[in-house]
Amino acid sequence: MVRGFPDLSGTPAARIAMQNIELILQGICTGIMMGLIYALIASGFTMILGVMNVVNFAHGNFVMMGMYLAYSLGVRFGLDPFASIVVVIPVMIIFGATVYFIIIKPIQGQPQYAQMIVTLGLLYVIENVVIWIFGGESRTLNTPYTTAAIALGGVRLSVARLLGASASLVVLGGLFLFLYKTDFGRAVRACANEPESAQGVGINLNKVFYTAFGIGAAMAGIAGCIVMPFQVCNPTAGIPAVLKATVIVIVGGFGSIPGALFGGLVIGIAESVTSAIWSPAFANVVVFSVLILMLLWKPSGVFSRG
Amino acid sequence: MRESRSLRPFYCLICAALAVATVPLFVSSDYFLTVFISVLYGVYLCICWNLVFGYTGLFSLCHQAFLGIGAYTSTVLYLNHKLSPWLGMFVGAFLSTALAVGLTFVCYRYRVKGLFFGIVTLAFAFVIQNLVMSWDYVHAAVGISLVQMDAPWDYYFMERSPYYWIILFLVVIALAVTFFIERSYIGYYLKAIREDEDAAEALGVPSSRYKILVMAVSAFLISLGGTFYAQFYMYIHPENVLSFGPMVTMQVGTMAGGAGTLLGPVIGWTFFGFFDEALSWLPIGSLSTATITRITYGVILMTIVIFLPTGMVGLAKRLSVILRIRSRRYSGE
Repeated sequence: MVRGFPDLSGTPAARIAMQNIELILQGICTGIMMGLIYALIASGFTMILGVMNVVNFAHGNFVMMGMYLAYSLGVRFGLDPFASIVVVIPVMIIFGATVYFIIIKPIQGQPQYAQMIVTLGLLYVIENVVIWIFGGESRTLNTPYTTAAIALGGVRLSVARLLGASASLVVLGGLFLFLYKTDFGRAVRACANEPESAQGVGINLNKVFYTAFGIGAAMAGIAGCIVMPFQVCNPTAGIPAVLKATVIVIVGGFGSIPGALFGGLVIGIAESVTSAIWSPAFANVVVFSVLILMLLWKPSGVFSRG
Repeated sequence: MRESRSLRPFYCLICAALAVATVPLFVSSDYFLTVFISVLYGVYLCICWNLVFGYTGLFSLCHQAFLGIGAYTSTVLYLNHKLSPWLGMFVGAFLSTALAVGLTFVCYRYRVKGLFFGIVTLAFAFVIQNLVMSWDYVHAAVGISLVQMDAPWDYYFMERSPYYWIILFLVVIALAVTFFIERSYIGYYLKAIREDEDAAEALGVPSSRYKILVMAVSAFLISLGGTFYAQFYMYIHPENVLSFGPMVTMQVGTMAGGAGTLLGPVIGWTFFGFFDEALSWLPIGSLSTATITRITYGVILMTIVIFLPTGMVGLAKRLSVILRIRSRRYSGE
């Protein structure tokens, strides 16, 4: 026993933990992998939020679009979802820039509710366009590695999730390099911090906004592709995804990419562990509870910039 | 500028309602009556949401949850406990009100405003929808089909006209509530909260109390609408009373007509409700029609927010000002 630390070994939590130690370990490992993928989604979301102060409710639907793109390419051309990323990136960048031009730019100055309703409208439109094209049923894409898993100790690591998590890390690393090692990345960060001063030193705010939105959409699309091998996709996947991204961003701090990573891991692990011990339905409740807890404790997030 | 305190608009409302109430006497076609009923139902939803969003500025995305709670409560109480929906309707309404008060209070207590409030209400509605979808007691994702009931005292009528009058009555009640709130001191408080909550608080407006009040009233009313939906359409399912669909209806109708005005939701949804119906006459399959309708609504919603945020009522006001200036210019000289 650690001196000074209360003896928790008799508590119900400890009992559950000791009975289910293997489940918990499994949950943590899956959670880390899923957490990295969630972090990818949340990074795009938080970047758009940080750079142009827009809550993109349709972000979950961008992910869903990535999933359906991967699905179509997989079914039509037999492309592996990870290979589809090559196609998805430019498509989503263009799509993101278009969305910005048509919808977000006109409401930049207006009160916050305007931006919320507009992105909600976009959410609704995308969801129904997908239903129109693909129908409302769920789709899956089976790859050679969908059910493969590596056994490590007592834990089974799903290969699909492992690949997905690695891809997320790569993309997040690329984002980090872009934001911190390139000039344009510095411009993006400047706009996120101080838009007026950034304009004052000659940064083209518009170009930054287009790029940020495009990159955010692209990251969502990539996340959608990554998730396709092991996830069922249906048109209604948008709202849960964006709610999760919102919780992550609230946990991690608005506009903070490291915060998105941290928040993603937290949510991923929490969700997986509760899924393992109780049930997947309960995991939703847990995520919602994390949201409430964060709002009570520190609404600006753990890595907030104040 | 002192606003008119006369009850004239209210009398006009009553007369208009009486006029509209005579429609079933002339129209005997079930189809048209159903169309009118569904339009009135949409109008009712918009009026309820307008109270919270238009007047108070609360971006509440959970009203569809209250709708669903009303529908499910009265239905389940009838099917399992033989409680007449006329009474079950109030049980559902009180349940919704309690939840609305709780949610708003928690948001007040932890200073959840604006954007956060929207997110929390969206999450709340999502949780409720998921709860119902996985709860077998309320038939989960299968939905509940109401059996043919027998009697008016069980909130069931063989004809369409009684339903028409019930929903018209509900609309009039909701409009009356809105009207009397708008012209009272509560209305001023709500508008102050909408415009600048901190400034309102600084002037002594107890914003939390009135936000809770308006959410409670709105939730109560919209719950009654939920029971109406169940009793008229005889089939409830998480997709048609708990999903984001009704919320889009509320948003489109209110924003298109003019949020924060008395007649805005009425005009807005009357227009789109009939437009919706007209779309269904197009020669495409019904699933496509439903989907295309929804896509159109989403696009319209975005367009309205970008180009006409004050809605049709706002447009009408602007036009009337322009016309007045024009007429003054031409008559003065």
